[in-house]
Amino acid sequence: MELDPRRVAVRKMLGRVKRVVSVVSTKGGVGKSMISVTFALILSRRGYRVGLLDLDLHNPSAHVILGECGAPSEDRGILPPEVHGLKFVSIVHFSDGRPVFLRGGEISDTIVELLSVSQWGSLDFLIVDMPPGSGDELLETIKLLQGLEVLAVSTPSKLAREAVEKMVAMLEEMGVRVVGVVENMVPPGSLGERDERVLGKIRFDGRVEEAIGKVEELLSTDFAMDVERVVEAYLRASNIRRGVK
Amino acid sequence: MHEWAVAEGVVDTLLELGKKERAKRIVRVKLRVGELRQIERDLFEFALRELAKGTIAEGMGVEVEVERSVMCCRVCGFKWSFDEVKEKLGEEENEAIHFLPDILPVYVKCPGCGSVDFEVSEGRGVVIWSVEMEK
Ligand SMILES: Nc1ncnc2c1ncn2[C@@H]1O[C@H](COP(=O)(O)OP(=O)(O)OP(=O)(O)O)[C@@H](O)[C@H]1O
Ligand SMILES: [Mg+2]
Ligand SMILES: [Zn+2]
Repeated sequence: MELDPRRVAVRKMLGRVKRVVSVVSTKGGVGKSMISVTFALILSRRGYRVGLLDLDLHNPSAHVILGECGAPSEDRGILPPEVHGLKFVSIVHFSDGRPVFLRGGEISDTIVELLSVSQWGSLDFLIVDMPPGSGDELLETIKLLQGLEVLAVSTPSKLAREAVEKMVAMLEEMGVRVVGVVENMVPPGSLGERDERVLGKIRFDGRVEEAIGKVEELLSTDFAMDVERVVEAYLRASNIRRGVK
Repeated sequence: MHEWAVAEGVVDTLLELGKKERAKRIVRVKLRVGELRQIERDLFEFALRELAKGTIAEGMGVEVEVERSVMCCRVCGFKWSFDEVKEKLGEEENEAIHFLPDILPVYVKCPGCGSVDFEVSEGRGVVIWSVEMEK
């Protein structure tokens, strides 16, 4: 007999987290991190209790977008620091900003380990920034986090779109709740075109790059305005009414 | 304080198991804890006993064995253990490894060839390997 107590610990640590939303894509560089962070910030500004988990262990970037990473404290595990109102957990809290080289097995193990010590407390939403693809990080979170929801990010490119649609279909077959596909980096001119298949469209906004690391500036961009519409569509689609928590 | 988080996971797992097996009492548990976790054994055992109070595991016997670590380089095959490199690590680095043993290659390289591509084949996890119950 060999029992791993960490998996039970994960369930307990996340016991008071109402919804977990993972932001995924088959492709890299489509805006998952920008969208995760902005999505989390907008929910938090609306009065929800929000956590942000960066599971891109090889290339963590949420802390760069937030402009700071905070420092966790210890109490029967790790208490995530509050960064711009978000409870924030990232590998950078442990890697000291150094590069992380890990193979798949260790990636899975690190995720279990990280989640078994992080004390989220009670949260309305935990937003998870994922690395690209459908590898260990995605499979491990699906296995570990019951009731996981997925927000898939695509771009108007055929290369992104077809693959993301296939990924979404597969996730649904696996019983994962896909809240929708968002299309990012849409040329501002074609934002108005209706598309049943997407939850929302987000403009390509030249101001985004400049706003990285500056939360207030980021939230004032057209990009954030479009993400806000995605947040609203998400809340509506999930039957979450304002004020009802 | 990591000891408490690990102990909590252990006690919860035991109680779940006890429930599943319809046990009246959990009499004894044997655990193997990886050396990389650098757990304070006294504190850990104390936490286990405290957390078991008021449950079917109250008063259980606890045996904690620290498993020595073995790292094995995937590039050159060199094997070594944490003792041999621990001295060179700072307090914060040790602290990070204590929480996330898998982070080791961020701070330690293979003493043989300098690669970070090595496996921690022993001494990382926390395993409950024997539970004695009264049914
Ligand atoms: N709507 C947008 N308008 C303009 N630039 C954008 C937009 N969305 C994202 N970007 C830019 O695209 C780049 C990639 O974004 P981001 O890092 O969020 O992608 P990602 O999907 O998380 O990448 P990775 O797969 O590497 O994790 C960044 O430089 C970001 O500033
Ligand atoms: Mg990213
Ligand atoms: Zn080597």
